Amino acid sequence: MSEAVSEPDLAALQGWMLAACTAAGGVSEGLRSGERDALEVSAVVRGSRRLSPEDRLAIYAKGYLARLLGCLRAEFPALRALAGDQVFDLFAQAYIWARPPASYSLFDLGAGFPGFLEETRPRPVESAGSPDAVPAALARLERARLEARHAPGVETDLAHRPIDPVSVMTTPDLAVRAPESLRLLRLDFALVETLAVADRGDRPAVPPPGETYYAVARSRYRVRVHVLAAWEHAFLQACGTGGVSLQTAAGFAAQACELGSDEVWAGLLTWLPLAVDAGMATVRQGH
Amino acid sequence: MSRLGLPNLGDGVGLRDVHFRHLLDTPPQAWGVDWLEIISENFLDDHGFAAHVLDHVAAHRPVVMHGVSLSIGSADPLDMVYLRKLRALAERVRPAWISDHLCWTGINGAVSHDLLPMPLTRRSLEHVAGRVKAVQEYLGCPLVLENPSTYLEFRVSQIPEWEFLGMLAQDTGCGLLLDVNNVFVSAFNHSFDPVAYIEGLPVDHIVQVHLAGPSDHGAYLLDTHDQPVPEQVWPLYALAQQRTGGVATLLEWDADIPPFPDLVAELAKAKDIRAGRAPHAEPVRPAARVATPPPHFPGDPGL
Repeated sequence: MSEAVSEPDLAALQGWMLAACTAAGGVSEGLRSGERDALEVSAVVRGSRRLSPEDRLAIYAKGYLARLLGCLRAEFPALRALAGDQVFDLFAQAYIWARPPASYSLFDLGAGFPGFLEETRPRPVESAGSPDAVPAALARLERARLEARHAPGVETDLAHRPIDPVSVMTTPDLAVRAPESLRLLRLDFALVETLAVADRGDRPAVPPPGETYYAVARSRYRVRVHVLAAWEHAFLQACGTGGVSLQTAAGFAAQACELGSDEVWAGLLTWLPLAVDAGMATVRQGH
Repeated sequence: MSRLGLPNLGDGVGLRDVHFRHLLDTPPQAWGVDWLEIISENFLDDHGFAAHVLDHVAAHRPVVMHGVSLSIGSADPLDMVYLRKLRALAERVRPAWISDHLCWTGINGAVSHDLLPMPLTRRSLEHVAGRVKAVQEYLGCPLVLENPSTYLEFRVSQIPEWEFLGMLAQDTGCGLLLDVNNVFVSAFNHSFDPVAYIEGLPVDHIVQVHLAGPSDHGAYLLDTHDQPVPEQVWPLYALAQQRTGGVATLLEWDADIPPFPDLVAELAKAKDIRAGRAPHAEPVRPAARVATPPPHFPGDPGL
């Protein structure tokens, strides 16, 4: 097998190959760029009549892009349905080239995609609800759905039990906390219908602007997106995964939304049992 | 027969999310498989439905943890965060063994999520052997390494892959996962004799065989796991089983995944072949080897 070729340092060889296969623009760009000049492809990679050394590297380069694109398509199906395949792939390809993966887990690949879409908006200074902000908002909601699917949830939490409205009012020392699977967002668009249409396999319309509070929660291993009132959102934010007393969370919600304490407590009476059932919160006795 | 203290688990398939519902809704005695293999990375950070299904499956069948991100050949330091999670998952699942690939997946902190080929030299053998020993010590069990499908060879390579794997196994005590589909793919892509490859491996280190279907790209074969096992692979499988005296068989299917019963039907061909019931799958005899060109799809122009 040996061709009496001097053996390059393993790190240099691997750095050369990875850079060539993952460069923006593909292998030809990767091989052209300056830092790869030290190694000549035909001196490093064996070619054949069927495939040149560049062809062989290109198989890996195509696989790299296809694999990562496939993951982003699977993770953001609603954004893909809204934008169309061609535009989505342009977003996704730009992201992959700008932020190549650095984690062993493909689950981490899409974590920065919503932020990247926000940073690369054509008109980032326009007011909230401008149409070019839709992709980032929708991506944030889709990413939240994925994270809610993977995180520890209420299903295996032995302390998670239903609560009835009477207990909310009559148990003096209730503590409430948010499960790790809960994601809370405030977005500038009404996106529930967008998700529903895309989940049915149809192409959604551009969503209308409108400040909306969301909870993405998991219960019985089903992830659902809930639209919340501002005080409900504030209440869950106050809970945190560490938990606080029900009094504290209710007080925070009232203060944050400039509501009367009685108003929040009246709302909690009916909403909290539903929120617990939906996996948005866990309530237990004792602080 | 037991190798490295590891049992012959029988015939299994990969655990994929499209089959989760089927496995929960079907009594385990009707699954039709002896064991299941997981892609470790799909479960390391998943505490949701996938974890629930895995616990159910592991309660009823042996499970093997098969990884794609160990990057045992990389010049980067071992990823201890990854290894810690791998060990934690193993403590929960109690796998029959833990496997990964002879490859590297990234360097300088960047990750390709691909199984990239090693330069097959004495120096890289030493490098990989040191890391295999470190991983085995950390995990407290033998690591099982699979031959990857490859699409390029480095000019600097001095050692055939099967000899490299053999020396690695002898030096470190690691097990080998012989993917006969990968042998078929790489043999086509690099024009070597797949029979020589299988016969060149140290048989007492082979603990598992992989089966899968690649796709034909004309000038090369691509390891896509998206179709039935091609007929050229079955004789290689028969040879591997003949040489080993019988080791665990796993059918991989990762794209265009069919319903679970169809997977089981494809897997059943392995049993037929071991029983000598498939006439096209006679083990390739050494005497016939010289006259047997590397397997190829019709119309291949050759190298």
